[in-house]
Amino acid sequence: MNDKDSIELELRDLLSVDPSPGFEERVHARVRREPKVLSWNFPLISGAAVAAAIIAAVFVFQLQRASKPAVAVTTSAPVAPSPIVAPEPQPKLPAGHHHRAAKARRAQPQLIIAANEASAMRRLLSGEITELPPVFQPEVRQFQTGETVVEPLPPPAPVTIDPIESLVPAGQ
Amino acid sequence: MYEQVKPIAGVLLNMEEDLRREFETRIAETTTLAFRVAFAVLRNSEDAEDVAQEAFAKAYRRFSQLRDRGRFRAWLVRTTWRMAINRTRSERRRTARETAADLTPTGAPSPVQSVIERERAGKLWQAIDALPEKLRIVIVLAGIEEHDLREVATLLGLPEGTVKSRLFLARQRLKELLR
Repeated sequence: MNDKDSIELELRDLLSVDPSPGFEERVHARVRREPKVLSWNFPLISGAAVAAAIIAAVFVFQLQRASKPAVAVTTSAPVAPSPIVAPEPQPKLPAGHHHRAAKARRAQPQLIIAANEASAMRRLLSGEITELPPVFQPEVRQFQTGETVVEPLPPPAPVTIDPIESLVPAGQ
Repeated sequence: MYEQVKPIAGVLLNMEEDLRREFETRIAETTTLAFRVAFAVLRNSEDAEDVAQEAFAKAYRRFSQLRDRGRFRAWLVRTTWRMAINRTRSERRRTARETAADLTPTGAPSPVQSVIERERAGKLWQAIDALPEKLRIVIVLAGIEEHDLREVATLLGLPEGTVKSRLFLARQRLKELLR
């Protein structure tokens, strides 16, 4: 028998220790004192339920938001009320048409235009007015600057350049 | 309302009962293993039993995730080992450990031989204690219940090659230490 085998055999002998009689019963008793297995998972289950509820709420909220009119009207500044134009009666359309229209509205990006601006644009386009009200016209200011007199410059003096003697070789 | 909840509660109770029964089967299969793993670290039967019991209680709390037999054994071995190591660290001042003499099989021939065996066993434990933890667990698991390479690798969640090289290193170190 070599060294390796003898060490391993000794180790096996050392480790072949059995628990005292009744140990298994004590383990069973210890485990019976533990709360039920499923109750340990209760936080997990309740957490999952809360997460599912949040996801459902967000989904419903998104759906509701998407079904609102595509063009939102905001009144960011106090403006004069625009004349109320009675809407023309719309011809009745089949139910499927409303559904398709709602879908198309959802697909388009939302525009945010001030109410009075939208009304003025509508009137301009329909020919009711020929130009936008002054509120929407760009403010043009005129500025005047003082005149400046530019006097003619005197003619430049003639320039004479003397030859550089040091560069001319001697004897030439 | 009660009528709606009643079948769900019944299903849950049945699941609970099934889990408990399954866990009791696992206990029967693994008590000795858990005890020996704890004993290899603590060298004290009472402490080893305490640690093994706690490991089983912990396993029970997580049993719904550990129903697979192989996974359960591996988890139990690693958890028991870790808990036993933690206990030795927290009880360093405790020096009275059982000696190897208490562990030798009964009917040892003569007092002289018994003394020699006790000394030899003491040296072997010292040598095992001197090994780094990753080598120690490998050699201990290979010594418990004669686990082969593959079983040790499964229990530790390591590749077989790693276990093989660690086992080789552990044997080499033990040989050097016991020379």
